Formats: sequence, structure tokens, C-alpha cells
Amino acid sequence: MSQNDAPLLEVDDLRVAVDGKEILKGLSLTVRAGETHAIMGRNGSGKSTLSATIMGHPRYVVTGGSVRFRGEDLLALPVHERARRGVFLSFQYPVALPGVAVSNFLRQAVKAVRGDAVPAKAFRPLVKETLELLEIPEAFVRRYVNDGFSGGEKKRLEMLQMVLLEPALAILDETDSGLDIDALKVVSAAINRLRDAGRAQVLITHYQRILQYVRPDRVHVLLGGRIVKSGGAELAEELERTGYDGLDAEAA
Amino acid sequence: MESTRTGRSFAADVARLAADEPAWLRAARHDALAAYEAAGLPDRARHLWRYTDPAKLLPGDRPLAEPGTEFGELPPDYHDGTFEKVAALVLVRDGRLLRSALDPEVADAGLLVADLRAAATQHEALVRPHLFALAQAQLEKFEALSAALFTGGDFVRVPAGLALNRPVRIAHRVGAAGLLASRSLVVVGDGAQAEIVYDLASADARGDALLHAGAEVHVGAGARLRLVFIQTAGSAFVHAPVIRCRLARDAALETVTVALGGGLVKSLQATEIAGRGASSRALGIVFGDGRRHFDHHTVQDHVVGHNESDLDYRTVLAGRARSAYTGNLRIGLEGAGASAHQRNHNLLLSESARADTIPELEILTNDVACSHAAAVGPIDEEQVFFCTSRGLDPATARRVIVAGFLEPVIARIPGEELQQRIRGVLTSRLEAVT
Repeated sequence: MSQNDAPLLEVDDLRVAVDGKEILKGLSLTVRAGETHAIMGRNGSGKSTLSATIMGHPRYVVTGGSVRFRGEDLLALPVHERARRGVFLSFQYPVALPGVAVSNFLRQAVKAVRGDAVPAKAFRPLVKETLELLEIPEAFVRRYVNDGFSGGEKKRLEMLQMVLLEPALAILDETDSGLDIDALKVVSAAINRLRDAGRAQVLITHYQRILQYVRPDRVHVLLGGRIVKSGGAELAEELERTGYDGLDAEAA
Repeated sequence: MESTRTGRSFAADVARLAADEPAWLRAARHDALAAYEAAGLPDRARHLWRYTDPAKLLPGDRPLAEPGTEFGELPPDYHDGTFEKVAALVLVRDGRLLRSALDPEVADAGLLVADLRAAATQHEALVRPHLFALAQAQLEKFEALSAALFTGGDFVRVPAGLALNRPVRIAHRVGAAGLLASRSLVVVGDGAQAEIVYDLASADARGDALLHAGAEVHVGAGARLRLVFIQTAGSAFVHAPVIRCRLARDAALETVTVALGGGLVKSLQATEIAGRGASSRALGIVFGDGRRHFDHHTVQDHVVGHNESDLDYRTVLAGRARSAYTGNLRIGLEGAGASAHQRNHNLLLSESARADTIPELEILTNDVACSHAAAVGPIDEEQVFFCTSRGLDPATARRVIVAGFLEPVIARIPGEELQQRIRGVLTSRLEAVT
């Protein structure tokens, strides 16, 4: 298969251990350009492990399987090269960078991912427009990255970075958790803005709630380190009614 | 005798310096020289000298250097011939004031910036009550040396009630190899407001000199002072400043210490919070690479209560650089109602760098609010991961994180252009080590 028609993301029989304990036990997932996927599951099922592994967190040790991005071995790449290829992770708990102004950080990130600096003249209106989309006051960019931010502000900043970096593959690790309905709508607007034929999004979530605003093409249930069930958007609604209990037997 | 082994006699130098000075100053110099000669080397077993060999601060066979007469080139952020950005510009070479230019408007209002030795004669009534008033009755050995030998220095006096809206900038260049001794005296009158920036650099990349520098800073009742000490000298420079500050009632002092240079720095900054309602804030950053050695000692001394002090020193070390920080926090018997806080965080960029941090709390009364926090460690890898996940390569990520760690202190330096110069110095130094 040539790189052009390879799936955007192809996870095959992925096994990952954290501190010597196997968390992902042969997970497979294919995401094509133009698709939005939702991965649902209980706490501890391996959802965050999957996103951290795709991004390349050093604590997560791949013990088997592969992850390909546009046909390329993603696991062989350092973290920053994954980002430059177009992979983005919206962190569940983004860290603070005290002393690093949001505006400075955004400029550095955009420069790194796009390969050259965006002129200030073009960058400022772009930031301004994105701030409006995300209902973020302009003074926000003068603050230090995530330093003293509320949970909702942190998620908004993650979305601000995502929209500015225009990733081909955005993985959102519980970006919806802890958000009130207004913030949820804003986050959904950011995700929907990125939906087009050349990109894909993977929403990792506990709840069906966000899927009312971002309708997924595919829904997967992650249980015990494997995907145990996949379906269309209706699967999320079904899970909402029945919970995960009925799926335990399938995982076993 | 122990003292005879700590160095040769400077009696002839003191006699020469004191020859055209008023009798009271001559006597003070002789007393200081006697104190220097009588004191043995500080005991290395005592904690304040555990990390720095006091013998390295001895003049040894260095002669007392004759200060240069040319300043050299000014950094571009300095002077544009106007007083738009500064209230006064002072050029000091090897501890001696060469030139001072004051905005005529503030000079008329009573701002005085002068050579300290000249001022001792010309403005005796202003200088004499303050000079050596804060130095302890028993001078520290090396403090006594700079008191006896100061070949020059500066006297800044802001009269009561005058509020300066631009900083006084004092550029100090060291170039002479040998022993240098300088002294600064700052007197900010009641209700006055000022910012003073001391910007010390060496004329070349090595900066062969040993500078014993003394400073006394008096902040009057209700006065506000921001005092900035920038040091970007070369890697052979030895810097031993002793800075003593005193805050009267309702006075507010903010010090910003930026130590980016020197091969060996042994510094004492002691602030006596002598009035109710006073507030002292001390910020500091240290960046060391190569084999640079920093030893900072601070004292927040609450002589009375119902006042506050806050200290935040941040250190970044690369290569085989070394830092020791000792923070004394004292609240005396009359100190009820004092609030005193201290933080010292150290980032180590290499396995061979080393930092020690020693908080010392001496609290003699109840009903106070005190805290101290100290940390030594490498860059947080979660921060690096976050930055690299946004496309920054690991080296850039580290530089961004380190620069951010130091930024809140740099942001307190008056003047965007000066801030940018300091950031530039840091960036180029960081690029060399990451």
C-alpha cells in the first residue's frame, strides 16, 4: 500500500506496559482521513495509555504490535517529530509552564509544526479569530501556560493549540470531562472546525454527552486493554442505556 | 598570628585614599582596616563558609587596582542622549564613578547622584549619618576590607517626597586586573519613590578582578524603592558583594538580583525590616554554567513586627556549576504580626551541577506567619513531554522551560530593552548548554 492511500492511523495488536504492568493487551484500531472516532470505556481500561503511547510518552513501554501514521512507523519517531507529522494530543491534565506566556508558546509551537515562523502580521489575526471561536478573552494569551488555570481554562487552551496547529490526527483525551455545558459547546466547535476530508479525530471519553455535539463516525468500546466492540454512533447511545456491564463477558 | 597570614598590609593604600577625605571618614577607614586585619579567615566549619573557601576572596598578591579612566562602549539599550528612559545615567569604572548625567528636572527636584568619596566632603550632612550605619558594629572580615579600601563608588539620594518615574541606571564596568573595592550608598527619603539599576559587567570575557563591594540602602518611612543588581561579568571575575538594607515604617523595598556572570560569587544581602507596615520583597536569579560557583546568603530580619518579607531565589545550573543558597529568616522578640516567606528553587541541567539550599528560621516570638520552601532537581520531564508534543525539539523545549522558570524575575526589571538584553544573554548561554 502506498503512503497516499494508507489509513491515517493504523494501530495493530498494540501491547503497552506501564511500570512493568501490561495495560494494552493487543489493541487494534484503524482511523481513516475524514473520520471521527470515539473510544469509550471505564476508568483503567487503557484509554489514556493509548493516547499517551501514540504521542510517545516515555513512561509507556511498547512491548508488542505497531502504530503506523500514513504508513510510517510512528513508534520509531521522537515525540516532536510525531507532532510535526500532524499528530496532536489534547491532554486530560495539561501541565503548567510557569513563566512561559501563552502567546510565546503558541508562536513557538506553530513555528515548530509548520516548519517556519508565521509572520506576526498573519499570526495575530489568526490567534484573535481562534480566541473568538473559543470564547477566550484576549488577555488570556499574556498569562503563563496553564499556570493557575481552572480546569475549563486548561481545556480551552488545549483547543486553542489544536485549532492553531491544524493537526491531521487529533486525539482528545477526556477533553470533555469536567466541563460545563457552555465550555462543552466551545470544545465541540473547535473539534468540528477541524473535521474535513483530510483529517481525523479520536475522542476518548467516558460520556456520551460530547457526542451529541460531535457526532462520531465510529464508536469503540475499550475494555481490559482491548477494543471489544465497535459500531456507529448508535453504539454510544446503546452504551448510555446499558452501561459497560454487558460487555464484560465479551472482553473475557 | 592567624591574621598576618591572611594578607599583606593595606595601610599605605588606606592612608593614600584617606589623605584628602574628612577626618570622620579617614577614621572609619582605619577602623575598618584594623577590623580586617584583626579578623582571622572565616571558619570553614561554620555553615556560611562551608561551600566557599574564604581564602579565594583574599587579595593574595593582587595589588589594589587603579581604576580605569575609560568606560568603554555602552550597551545599545542605554543612552540615546535624552532622559526619556532614565532619570539619571551613571558610569562607573572599576568601582570609580566616571560620569553622571541627571535629567535637569529631577536634579532640580533634589535627586543627587554623585561619587561617594566626593559626596562625603561636599554633602557631609547627607552622607555621614548613613555611611557605615548599617554595617554591623563588628564588620565581617571582607566587608571590612571594602569599607577600608573603597576607591570610589556612588551615592544616590532621593529626597523625601520625590517620586521618580524613570530609573536611575548605574553601569559598572570592571576591567582592571587586581583587587577592586567599591561602595554604594542609597538614601531614599520619606515618601519618595525610585528605581535604581546597578548593571555590572566586565570589559572582556574573562574579567580578571576581585571585587569587594559594599552597599548600604536606607529606605525611609513610606518610601518605595526597587533596586536591581545585574551581574554579567566574565568567567574569571570574583565578586563579593555585601548589601545591607534597612526599611523604616511603611517602607517598601523590592530587590531584583540577576547573577549571570562571574567565576566565583559570594554574596550577602541582609534586609533589616525595622518598621511596622514595611514590606520587603527579594527576587533573585542565578544562572551558572562551566565551573562557575555561586554562594548567596540572604537575611530577612524582622526587628519589629506587623510587616512582611518575601523572598524568591531561583537557580539554574549547567555543566559543573555550583550553587549554595543560605536563607536566614529572623523574627525578633518584638516581631509579633510579622509575615515572612522564603522560596529557593534550583534547576539542574546536568548531572555534574550541584546546588545546596539551606533555609534557616530563627523565630523568637509567636503570632507570626512564616513559610519556607526549597527544591533541587532536574527539569520536569512532563513539561518537556508537553512541549515536544507541540513540536518543539527537546533542546528547545528545555530552553523554553528554563527561560520560563527565570522569566517572572526578569519581568521585574525596569525597562523592556534591558529585559530583552538579559533574556538575550540567557538565551545564548542556554543555547550553549542544551
